[in-house]
Amino acid sequence: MTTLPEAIRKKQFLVTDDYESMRVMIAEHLKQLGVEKILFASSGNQALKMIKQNQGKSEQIEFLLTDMIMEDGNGIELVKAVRADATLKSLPVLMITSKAEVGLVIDAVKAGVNNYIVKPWQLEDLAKKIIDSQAKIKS
Amino acid sequence: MKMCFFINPSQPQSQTLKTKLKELGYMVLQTQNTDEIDQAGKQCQQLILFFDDSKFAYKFLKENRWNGFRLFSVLLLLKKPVLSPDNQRMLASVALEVFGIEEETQLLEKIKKFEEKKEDDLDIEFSIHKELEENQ
Repeated sequence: MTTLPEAIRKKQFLVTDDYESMRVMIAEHLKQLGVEKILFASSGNQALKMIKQNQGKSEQIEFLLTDMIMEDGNGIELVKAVRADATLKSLPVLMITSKAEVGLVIDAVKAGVNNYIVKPWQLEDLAKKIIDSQAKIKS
Repeated sequence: MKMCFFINPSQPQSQTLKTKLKELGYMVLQTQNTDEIDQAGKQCQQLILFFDDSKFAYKFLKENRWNGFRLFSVLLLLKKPVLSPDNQRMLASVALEVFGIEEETQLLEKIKKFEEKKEDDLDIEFSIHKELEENQ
């Protein structure tokens, strides 16, 4: 059964997507991978607010999963804003994209995304990408 | 993950249907956003879509079926089923299965059968539907 290393499972995840169905499906997969602490944002702007507000608190965001294209503050802008804050440089970011958006991945990586996954995804791939995103932060 | 979208915002949502679907492990959401439905369908492989009105269901699915909505199967649930052969044929060209929720006793059975559909069945159904569509 696929699972994540304990150090990652214990982290506080923030799932950002403007579609409720996507948020629910991502969270369902995270739960299957052993993640227990999951918060949700429906836009890039809301996510940034939550990340900043929760810094240093018990609900500090320790892993960001974000959609690329959203109506209110897209994923790339969110990552740029996160990386612009020196205290958030070590926040692992995994971006979720649709096939149509793959052309924007280079921009996302330049913005500071650690890895990306294309919809629809498989549970095993999601686990690998999360682990890889965390590893890239450490290295 | 099993998902059902209630499509018509004006309809009084059928609480009974919602409860039954939840009992079967479905996440029930309301949207008309075709991109969201498309993405959810591709992730889940199967979706149940609930419409109040058959004409709107046909229009909505026909507009999207051959563009995005073709990589997953749809069980179309209708609050008011239209039983004339012409309407049935039209709806069969846009959904793998069509069912009126008034026939409550068969609903669980219908959903279970839909869940058992294999990808091969889906390919066959799509080719039949596409043929029907082209001959219309």
